[in-house]
Amino acid sequence: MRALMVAEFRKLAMMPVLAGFLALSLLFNALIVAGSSYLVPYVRSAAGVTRSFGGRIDETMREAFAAGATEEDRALLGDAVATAENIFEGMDTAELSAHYTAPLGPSSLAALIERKYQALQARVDHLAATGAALDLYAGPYTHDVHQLLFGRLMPAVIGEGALAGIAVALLLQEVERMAGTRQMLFSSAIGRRIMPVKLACAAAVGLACYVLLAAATLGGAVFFLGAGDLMGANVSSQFNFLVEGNLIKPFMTWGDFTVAGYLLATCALGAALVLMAVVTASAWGTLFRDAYRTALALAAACVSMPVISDMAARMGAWEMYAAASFLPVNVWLRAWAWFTDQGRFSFIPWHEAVAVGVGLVGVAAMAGWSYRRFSRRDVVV
Amino acid sequence: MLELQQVTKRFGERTIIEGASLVCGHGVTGLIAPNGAGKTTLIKMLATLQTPSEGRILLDGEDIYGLGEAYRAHVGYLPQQVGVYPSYTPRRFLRYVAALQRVPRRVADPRIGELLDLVGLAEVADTRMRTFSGGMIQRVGIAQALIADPDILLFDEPTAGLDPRERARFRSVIHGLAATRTVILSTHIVSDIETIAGQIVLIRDGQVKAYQHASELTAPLVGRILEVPLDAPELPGELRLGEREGTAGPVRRIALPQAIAAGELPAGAVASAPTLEDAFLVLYRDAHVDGVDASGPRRGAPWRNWRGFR
Repeated sequence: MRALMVAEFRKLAMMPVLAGFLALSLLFNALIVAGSSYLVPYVRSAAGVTRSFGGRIDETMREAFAAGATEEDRALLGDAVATAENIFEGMDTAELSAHYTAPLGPSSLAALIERKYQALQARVDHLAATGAALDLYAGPYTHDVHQLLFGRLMPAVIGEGALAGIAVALLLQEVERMAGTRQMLFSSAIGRRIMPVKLACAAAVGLACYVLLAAATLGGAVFFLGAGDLMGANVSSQFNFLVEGNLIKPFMTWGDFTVAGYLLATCALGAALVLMAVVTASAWGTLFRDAYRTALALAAACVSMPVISDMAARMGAWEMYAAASFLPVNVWLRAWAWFTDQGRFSFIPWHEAVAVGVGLVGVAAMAGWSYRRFSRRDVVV
Repeated sequence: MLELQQVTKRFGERTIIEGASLVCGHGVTGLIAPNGAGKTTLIKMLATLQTPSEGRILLDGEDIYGLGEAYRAHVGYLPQQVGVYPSYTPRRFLRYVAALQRVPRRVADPRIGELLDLVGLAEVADTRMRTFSGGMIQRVGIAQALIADPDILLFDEPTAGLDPRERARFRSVIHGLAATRTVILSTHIVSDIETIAGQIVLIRDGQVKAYQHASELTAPLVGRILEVPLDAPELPGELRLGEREGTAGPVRRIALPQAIAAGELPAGAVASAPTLEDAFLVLYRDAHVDGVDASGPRRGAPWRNWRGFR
């Protein structure tokens, strides 16, 4: 089996398109980072303050800051340090619950969302007790920094990793048609069971591409911004928030996350999405037996997911909206709010993790079914 | 022993093979028919690339699709179109095929050397195949079919692209292998199997019929094959088989409905021993065979097929 895996990797080496795609992706991501260069002085100021005085804004830090901060730091962070407060103290999530359930009317979905915000109240009380809101993070520009990393770069990296994985999965199937080796391959002892080997190879390469993109892009962004010292800040800092329409709300997560921990968690979830994409491409490629048709079908499916979600919301078909929230593309589009309450988009805690977990099981079952079906179908040359 | 039991293959409304029953033991079974008759379909079913619409294919009494890998591990298949990875060398490609056939590396490597010698590619064993001619690719295909030392060999048009010397060599190799193996060789070139095939299988209109020796096909034509000058008058019921340049000028080779005694030969006509190709052209007279219209003029006495094909 190892020899077969190595052979599949060698087939990819015959196709330099993957390296080209990765290079273009890194260039694209670099442009996104470069476009946020205005953040550099604010981030470096916050990082310097964190190094000098710690990351938690309290009386000790305020006094030390007042005594020792540079003029630049005072200009950039003075107000933030002076006026920071524990915003979670006394916060009532029932207001959010009422806001999100109002359009739903009395319904089982509304009841689930209410239950979700009751659970979130416990998290809010915990955040209040730990003083998470008082972490400096990147000060007044925390939202911009956080959304650069997790609202733009992370979805880009996940999307690029998924595309690379899909391309690899389809290329490994298509290479046999292009080379005219399908008959030789499927009549061998291994036969049609080469397809899971191809899937394993595609998954390995797709995930490797994703890890490379994530490390280079996010690592490069953190280095470029000088945000290394901010990795220990709590993502639920009062300076971090979510904007949904005309609503601005704190960044409340279902678990305690430092910036580094949140980065790892989103990378892990992103890897699961990439794996889902690869398995789906492999399964559909086996069913359609044509890489181009498979690519078109995947593109159509990806486009349809947010369309279904949007149409359901406009029509007030909230059950459909709730179901559509589990679709992988819709989960990916909300990467900017992963592991938070997610408003009306989710009705259970850790919604995105559950959606991806269920999705992985589903696509794995679909792949198994497609391979079994393929084992009984004629080989098309 | 390979056995087909009432095997039928349909593609939509089209029936390609109907009710085929056949037994193939050790030796060469030549599968001969015009293009499009169903040879490749039959070979592909034996290679498990296509499944029968009806019927079963058995190896020593067990269904080959049920056996799965246990069957395929004993099969060497040369497809009609041999595909290779252009950036691979023959050695690397054969190593890959060996891995697909679960042949251990320590067994495969020496065998690869032997096979490359056998097919005359030893000198280019480590040359990328993107520069190879069609004949060289075909020889790589023959080598890959033999890599696992299979008990069953399925060859679909194996001599395509080979020059006469290579074709003769191939026939010798196959004849040697067939002593202890089941070899099924599909071709529309009669000379490929004329000298090496024991059982000969013909396919016409989806019907598969086996003959245990070429003489079963040629014996009924004894006394019926003549060569007459090209410009000689047409004989009643004659079927034109071809033309060639004779010693005294161009002649046409014909088949007559009935045997003709030596003393009754028309002027200028010479009796000729029937060949397998003659039998093939007579049997498939309604089919367009390799550019030769074997249908012949339909006048004079009605043509009667002696083997049940109508």
